[in-house]
This record gives sequence, structure tokens and C-alpha cells, in this order.
Amino acid sequence: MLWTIAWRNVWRNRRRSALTLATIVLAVVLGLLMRSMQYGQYGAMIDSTVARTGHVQVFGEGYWDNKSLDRSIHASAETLERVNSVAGVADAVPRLESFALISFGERTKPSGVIGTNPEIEDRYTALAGRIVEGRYLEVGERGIILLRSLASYLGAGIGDDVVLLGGGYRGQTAADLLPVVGIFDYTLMGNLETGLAYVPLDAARELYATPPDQVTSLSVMLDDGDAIDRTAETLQRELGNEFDVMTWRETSPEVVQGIQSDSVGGIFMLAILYVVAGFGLLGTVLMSTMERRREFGVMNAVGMRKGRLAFVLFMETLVLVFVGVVLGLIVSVPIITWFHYNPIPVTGDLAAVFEQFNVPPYMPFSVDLGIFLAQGFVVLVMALIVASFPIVSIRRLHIMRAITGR
Amino acid sequence: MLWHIAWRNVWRNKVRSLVIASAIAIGLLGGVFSYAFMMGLVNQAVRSAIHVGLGSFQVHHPDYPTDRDLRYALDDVDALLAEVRSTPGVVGASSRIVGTAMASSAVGTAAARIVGVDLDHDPEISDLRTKLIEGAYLSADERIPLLMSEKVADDLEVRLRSRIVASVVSPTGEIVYGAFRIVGIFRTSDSVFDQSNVFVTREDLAELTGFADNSASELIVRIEPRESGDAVAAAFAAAHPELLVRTWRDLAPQLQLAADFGGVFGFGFLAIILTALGFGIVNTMLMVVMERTREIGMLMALGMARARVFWMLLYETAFLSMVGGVGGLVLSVALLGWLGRVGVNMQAWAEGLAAFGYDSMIYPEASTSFYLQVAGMVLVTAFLASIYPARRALKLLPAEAIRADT
Repeated sequence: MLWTIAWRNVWRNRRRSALTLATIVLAVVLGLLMRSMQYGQYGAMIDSTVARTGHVQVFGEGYWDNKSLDRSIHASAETLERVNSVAGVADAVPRLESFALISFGERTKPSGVIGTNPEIEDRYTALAGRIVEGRYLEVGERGIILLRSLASYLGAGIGDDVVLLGGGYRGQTAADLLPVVGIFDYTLMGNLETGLAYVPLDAARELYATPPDQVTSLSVMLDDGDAIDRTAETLQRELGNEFDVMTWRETSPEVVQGIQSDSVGGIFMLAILYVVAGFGLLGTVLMSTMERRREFGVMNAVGMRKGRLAFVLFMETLVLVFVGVVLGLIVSVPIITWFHYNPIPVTGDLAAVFEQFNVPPYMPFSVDLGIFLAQGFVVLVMALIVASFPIVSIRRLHIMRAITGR
Repeated sequence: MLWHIAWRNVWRNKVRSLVIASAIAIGLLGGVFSYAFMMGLVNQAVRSAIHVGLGSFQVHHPDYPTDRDLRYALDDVDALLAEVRSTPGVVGASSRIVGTAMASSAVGTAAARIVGVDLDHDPEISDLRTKLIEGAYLSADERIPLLMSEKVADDLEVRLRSRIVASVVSPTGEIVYGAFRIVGIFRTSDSVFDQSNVFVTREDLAELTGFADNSASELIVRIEPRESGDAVAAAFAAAHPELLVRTWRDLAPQLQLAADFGGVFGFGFLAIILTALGFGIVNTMLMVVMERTREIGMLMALGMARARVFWMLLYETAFLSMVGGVGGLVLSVALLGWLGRVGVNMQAWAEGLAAFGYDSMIYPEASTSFYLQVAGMVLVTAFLASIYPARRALKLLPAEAIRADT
């Protein structure tokens, strides 16, 4: 009954309600699109980071602060088994990495040389798909794949033997001669002065003169990206103190902070937008309360209690906001869904910047339910605040003055 | 006369006018702050990139970027430098020798660009001297001095006065080893720059690598004011087609993009806020027309021309918006004046910002012309928002309007 009155009241002044709705819809649609785009972008950044580092990484004690081969760990089949048996762990990518000088002919370049299991590596970083010449590494072979810019600098092609020279395990010399089997393309963020090369794990152990089964890191992939902290704790407990277990948030704080600072900017902008929309709504509510004083006075006089009157007014505001939110969803959900499945390709300079941060050149939209819930919550709070104003004026209503219009 | 009536009309319903004026003020404050913050962030990053690392433009051998090798040198550098220095707008020019080095300490190895700087002229193009957090700048009094960033020093676990060994690839392709002593440690707002550069004197690096006199890997030129840099670079490039000339825009595409889009984005956000405010203004003015139907009918019946009624309402809208607009701009100028002095501290996200080359202390920037543009945008919004309500007033028929019951 009261609901019906509230609903009808909203539509008594269509033009005004429509304009107020327009403000709310504008705020809701812009808010949703913006957050969805931001979250989509963050998701892409996190995915590209996690593909590189794993959700959780296992190192030897102190390796993160001092990346020395001497702090590498013995990853025996039994250790791997222990890691893989922890609930939630999908896979672990073993890597043995350090620096070496790579030479061919007269040319030499310092490079990161990463020993990895080619099969597991490809599953997460899709390294095989980045090969532009030759072929990808095979498990257990003695061969090396070079970053394109490194290969062109050295002038080395497929089948050429390159010399690797550097510091090995416990003061030994790392030296080896390996045939180039492939050339891959990959954009390195940051240090462009060095090269990058991958070799199979055993070849890396031979190069760096480490014992068998030695690795510098295990990149652990989880089934569920949200259970990172819990799984990391379990892993640390399971493995003991000779191992350091770190999440990607700890190893890539710049990604976490980059996301946070951007997100705060977005939230700030949305806050302003909602304050503006809230004021628009408040203006409407105040006006409709003021111009209907006589009506309220009459209703009060014929026996409608002030409480119920206030309730009707409260409901009017909520109904208006609710309709606004529904319309906002009707407008934005199809847009968001469409762009979620058909991300906008990014071109030109912007694409180069995406590439620089190793994020695919697309603007993905996120359909995370959390975005909608958060927006809904903010709008609800705004509506409740605004809806409370008329209650005060109803309480102050003086029947005689209201009816006579004085 | 007409504007006098309009001004009084604005204050007939104080609460309503103040609600919409506050909305305008708060919306503007938010929009102006967002814009100024973004401009501050981007301009600081561009300034620091130009002043510390990139210069206004750089000159290289055309093959230098692909290989970044000491063999690709510029010949007869003194003549080139003399030519550049005599160009109007050029405030500094210096040559550098740049090679790739592996810097090793007792515990670790880091790969970086090793930059040999001209002690007399480098300070003209680089403010690196002001970024030292420990020790002193390179000087001819020190034997084999070297500057490195805090980040590299931490990685290598070295301190001030520590000795490090750098292996550099010489112009002939051999690897040469040289010992250096750390005399200073720097930190800039760009973590990528910090990670990838160590600085030594030109003489030491030339002696170590056998680099020829009167030649250099690169010329860096600084131009004031910043805007004239591109023109000077283009003129120099045209005079020397055999050389590679790149401006800071070519060298840091992500900054160029941020500089280009930052302002557009800020104005876009202001436009969105003003649109939302516009709906609120239309709503308020519609309300005004409706509740004054009788009065407006009366004025018309007494002989007030329709055009004058129209203008009266237009003035009233303009005044209403101006109260909010002026209030918002005064608040903005005060807030930004204060923040421009004390800065906005984003220390919590310092690492994330540094990864993109941004400072963690942001000083918002807004010019007088920007405030004027915003004021213009407010006026345009007010004008657009007033048309619809004023037209409705024009359509009133005096005979019917007088008998309206409100």
C-alpha cells in the first residue's frame, strides 16, 4: 500500500524524476565502466606478472636479497613431491638462473641465462609461442635459445655455437659452448642493456657447475589465485626454514603498488562523481518535500501518521535510486560483457607502452562481481543519506501552517 | 535591472540554491584537483626524465640503438658540440661514452650501462649531482671514481668507497676489466634508470676501452624552454642526415603518452562532472519555473516581453552557477596553492610509482589559463542548462498561468 503510494509519487513529476535518474544513471554507468576497465587492466598486469614469477616462489634462504647461485636449493624429486602435495598447488616451475657473458665471434654481451624445464615453462609463459626463428628447446638437450636482440647483436644464427662465460656455483667458473637452436622475441621491461637466453635445466647445471637437482627458484602455480597467502604459509611450514617462500606480491611490490596507486585515483574520481550525483538527488528530494508541504499537512490532518508519511518519502527516494541503478545496469552490463569477451585492441604508441610492461595490447573489461557489489553498496549508502533528509522536515511539519501555506 | 531581479530571485529559496551551488563547488574542486594532480605527476616525471637521464634530445650513430655497442661512435664530436652550443635555446650539451658492463663485487654481479661523462660539461645536461644520497659527485681528484644507484649498490652489497670490477666490451670486441671505486650513491624517481646506469669519468672509460679521442657514443643536448626542444632537434637532424637524432619523446614513449593524454583525460573528467552538474541545474531551474508559473504569468500579463522573461531566467541560471563556480574555483586555488607548496605524499606507493618513473611526492600544477578554461566550461554548462527551463517559461500562456494553483 505505502509502496504503491511511493511509486506513484515518483512518477507524479516525470520530467524531474527523469532528470534525477539521468544523473544517477550517468554516475552508475561511468562508475561501472571505469572500475571494470581498471580491474580488467589490473588482471592483465597480475596475469603477466604471475606467469613470470608464479603465484608463490620458493627460494633458498636469503636468495631474494642476494641472488647468488650459492644460495640455490636442492630440489630433489622428494622436495618437488612435497611442494606438489600441498593443497591448492597446481604445478611448480623449477628454474636455475644467473648471469653470464655470451660471446660469438668478436661480440660479447652480458646476459641472463635461465635454466628451465622447457615443457613446464611453456605451459605458463608460452615461451614456445615466442620463437621467431628455429625451434623451441627440448627437455634434456644441450642447446640454447637467444633473445632476438641478443642474437642480432652477436650475429649468431641457428646452429652457431655460442660461448658462455661467467661465475658458477661456489666460486667455480661457468663456461660452456652451446648450439643456438632458436631465437625468441620478448620485451624486457627495464634493463635493455643485457641479453636473455634460456637453456634446459641440466645444461644450466652443467654450465654453472652446480650439483644435480639444484635450482635457484621454484615458481609455484596455484589452482586458485585468491588462496595465495594461505598456500604460501602452508608451503613455508611444510618446507622448513632453509627455504624462503614469497608471494608474487612480495617479489613484485612495484606491480602491487602501481595497481594500488592507480586504483586510489579511480576511487577518488568516483567519489567526486557520486558526491555530485548525490547533491543532484538531494536537490530533487528537498524540492519535492518543500512543494508538497500542504499535501503532507492535509494527509497528516486526515489521519496519516507522520511516521508513515516519512516512510513513504523515504521509499520514494529509494525507489528513484533503485530505478536509476537498474537502468544503469541495463546500460552498462551489455557493454561490459561485450568488451570482456571482445577486448578493445590498443594500437600505436599506447600499444608500445603495453608491450613495454609485457601486457597484451588489449583493454580487457572485468566482469568481477565485486565491482558491481562495491558500486551497489556506495549507491545504497548515498541513497540512505539523501533519503534521511525529508524525515527531518516531516518531523518538523506543523499541520496548521502547512495547510494554510504560511 | 533584469540581472538585479535575477540575482534576487536566486536567493528567494536559499536552501535550494545553496545545495546546487555546493554541488557545483565540490564537483569543480574535485575535477580541478584531479587535473592538477595528474599534470603535476606527469610534468614532474617529464622534467626529471629530461633533466636527469634523457636531455631534450640525443644524437647517436644510426646503428647504435640496435646494438648499443662502443664501436658505433660519433666522430669529430668537438665540432658537433660547438655547432650545437651556438644554436639559440641550447643551454647545455655534453658528450658521453656509453658501454655495457658487468659490475662485480665480492658477492654479486649486475649488468648495466657504464656511462663515461665529461666532468666539465655533463652537469649542464644532467642534474644527477643533485640526486646523490651519499658521497660526492665524480671528480678529477679521485682515482677511478664511479657513481652507482642505491639499488645496484644493495644488489651488489657494496658501500661507499667499496671497490668494484667492471668488465666492459671494448670497441674491438674484447672484454676488458677495470677496477673502480664508488665515490657516490644516487637515487632518482625512476627505478629503471637507477637499475641500469653506473657513471664514471670519460677519461677513465676511454683509457680502459681504448676509445678514440674527439669521439663519443652519444651527445645529449638540453634546451630551454622545453617546448622549443623539438624544433631545435628537427633542425639539427635536417643538417645531419647521417646521424640519429631522437628527442625525449622518442626515447620515452610512455612519458610522451602520459604527457599527451594526461591533460585530455583531466578535461574529460571535468566535462563528465559538469554534465552531471548540468542535469542538476536543469532540474533546479525547471522547479523554479514550475513553482513560479503564476508569477511569470502575471509578469507577462503586465506586459513584460517574453524575451525579457527568457533573459531573466538565463541570468538567474548564470548567477546560480557562478556562485557555485566562483566558490569552487576559490576553494581550488586555495587548496592547490597550499598543496603546490607542501606536496601530496604518495610514499606508500613509492616503488610502484618509481617503476613508471614517477616521483612519490606530487606537487599539483595548474596554470591561470587552466582556471580560465574551467570558468568558461562552467559558463557554457550554465548556458546550456538554462535553455530548456527558460523555453518552458516562454511557452506559458499568461491567462492560464495566472490561474495556476501553486
